[in-house]
Amino acid sequence: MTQDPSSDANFTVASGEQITVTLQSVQCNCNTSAGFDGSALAKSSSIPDIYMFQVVGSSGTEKIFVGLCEFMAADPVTAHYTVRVASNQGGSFTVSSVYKEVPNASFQLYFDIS
Amino acid sequence: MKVSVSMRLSSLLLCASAAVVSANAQNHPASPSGADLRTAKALCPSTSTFQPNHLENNADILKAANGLAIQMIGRYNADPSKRPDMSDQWGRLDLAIISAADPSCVAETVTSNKITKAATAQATTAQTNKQVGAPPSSAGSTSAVQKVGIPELLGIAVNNGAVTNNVTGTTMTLSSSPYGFITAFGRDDDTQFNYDKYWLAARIGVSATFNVASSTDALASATRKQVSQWQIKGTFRDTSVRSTDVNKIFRAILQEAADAIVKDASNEILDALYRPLAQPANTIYTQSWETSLQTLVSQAPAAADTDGTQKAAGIANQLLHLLDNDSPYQKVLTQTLAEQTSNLSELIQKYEADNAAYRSKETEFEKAVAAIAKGWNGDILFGQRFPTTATSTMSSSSSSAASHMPDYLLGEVDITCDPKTDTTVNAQRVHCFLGKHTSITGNFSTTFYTSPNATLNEKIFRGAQAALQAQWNLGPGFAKIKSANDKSQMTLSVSGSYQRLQEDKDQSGKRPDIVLGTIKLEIPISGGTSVPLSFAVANASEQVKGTYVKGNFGISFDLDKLASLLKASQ
Repeated sequence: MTQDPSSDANFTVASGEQITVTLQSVQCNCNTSAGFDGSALAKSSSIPDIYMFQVVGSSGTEKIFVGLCEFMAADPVTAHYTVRVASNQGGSFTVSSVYKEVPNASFQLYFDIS
Repeated sequence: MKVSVSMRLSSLLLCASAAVVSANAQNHPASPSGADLRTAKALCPSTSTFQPNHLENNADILKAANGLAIQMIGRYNADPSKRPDMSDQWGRLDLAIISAADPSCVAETVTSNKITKAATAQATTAQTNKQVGAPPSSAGSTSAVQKVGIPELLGIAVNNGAVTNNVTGTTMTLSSSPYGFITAFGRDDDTQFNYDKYWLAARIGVSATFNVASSTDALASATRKQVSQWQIKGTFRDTSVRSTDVNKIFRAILQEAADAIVKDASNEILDALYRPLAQPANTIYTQSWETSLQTLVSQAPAAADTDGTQKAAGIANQLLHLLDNDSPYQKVLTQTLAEQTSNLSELIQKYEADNAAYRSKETEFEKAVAAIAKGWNGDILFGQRFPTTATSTMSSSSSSAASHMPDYLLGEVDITCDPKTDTTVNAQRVHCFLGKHTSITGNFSTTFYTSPNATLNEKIFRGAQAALQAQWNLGPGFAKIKSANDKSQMTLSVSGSYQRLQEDKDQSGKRPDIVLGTIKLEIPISGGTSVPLSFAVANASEQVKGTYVKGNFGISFDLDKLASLLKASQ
């Protein structure tokens, strides 16, 4: 897996790669949800919340991952979630953190199959 | 008439009392995924305000752009040396735009926000478990029993660093927790993982109170001689928004609704529709960063903009203005909207319906989180008091001779129970012995002199004190003059305390055993204002041996409640 140097959210992967997205909350509780390619993902483990999925498809297609991070009004304005993306075939990258929005903030990651 | 002003976190209390009663002068201080299209249309019936080149006129688009602005600010503050990468954020804005273009879904957000604020106001004003009077040890207090407050203390320490400084009148309290030190000095970040890992450290609070001469330079008074008390306090149960109960509530109430949204948003058909918008949006963003956006993002919020809301709104408006006037973006947007088939419209409407379902569940979630504090809880405290007979005064040239009395160590256990009817986390309801409308608070403490003065009849064992209070909710009170969102309750409390002061034994004019009974009625009037009325009967006080009866009245202003009501009315 490689990360687009001009875009944190864009990755190029080979079909069949196993991707792990880790969401870690800072200064707030950790409550998240994630979906990939039209399906909700179950957490592999909680706190930090870890989501694992396999990117499968023909070359040139793009798959989308959507993450949703819950915040509470009582959280400080600097509360955020860190986002880390790793592949079983190598490559581990940090994506821009997701900052406090009440009730939630969302982000999207794009996986282009090479 | 005595007037005491007490600042407790964000809550300010002004209490005017005709007489003072104090029990003790020193010790008490739907499945959203199944939301169908009929639901979507029912939730989004408003008149469309969508215009491709006036995006800021639509509330949903503005809200999405506002979220983008918040992320931009947060990321810039984390690393001001570079332009924030926003490539993961365009999708949410594009989704909001194509949703807004659907004629059935516009301007619903404002309404739902109003509902959320109203629910918050109702939850805040309904609270009867706050210590809204001055602590029992304070002059002017009408409280006979002190309630548990450590979670809020911990919350401040955890959220703001290792030590928190709170100046109120002529006293300053420095508070912290071991967890605050662990995370503030770089050993570990304040992640939820670490919060759970160091759970015991997060439940312990440490504080020291100082007598200060000037609130403008209070820290200068933080010397050993100015300490009036210090304490270590541990709470039995974490009721903060960081507690594991919040995770359970999220899973029970919001997880399914959140899953429905991410499922919709990651749909490849929908993605294919809005994805082409991301590139021109990102292009105009990068081109405009240095010329306009960076200035807005980097500048400090206005003084009145305490939470940065206005700053984010300004950036959001600028961002949408750029998109309104960018030809390449407008061209792609026109093409995208032309491709919006009825099949896609159904997907968009489902996405909107699932978002509306989430917002509805969010209100339920917040209520359940607020209810975590209910049920049984308590704390244990150990500390030392350094009482003085006169308030210390200090100037640049001299320090007054405050008369120090013998200091003593204090051990205290506080127990509280608020009726719990919400069963989201724990199926068991709690009725606190005396029914579902009754809360109970109890304190037990014992004190020991560190250096007893035999000539004053002092021994190591100084005394003990116990207090118990039961409080009944009697309903809304004067409902006709309160706003609809004001859920303040009229309460009746009965409390009793017993105090043993060993040194007063065999002393003429003094009684070693003091018994006090208090009955108090608190009547909410309007807008966070209430009138407490109380009567107290005691066999003696520490100064007077004789039995006395006293009546009190006062006016309390709870600014937390007032602020939430004002927000709800906006």
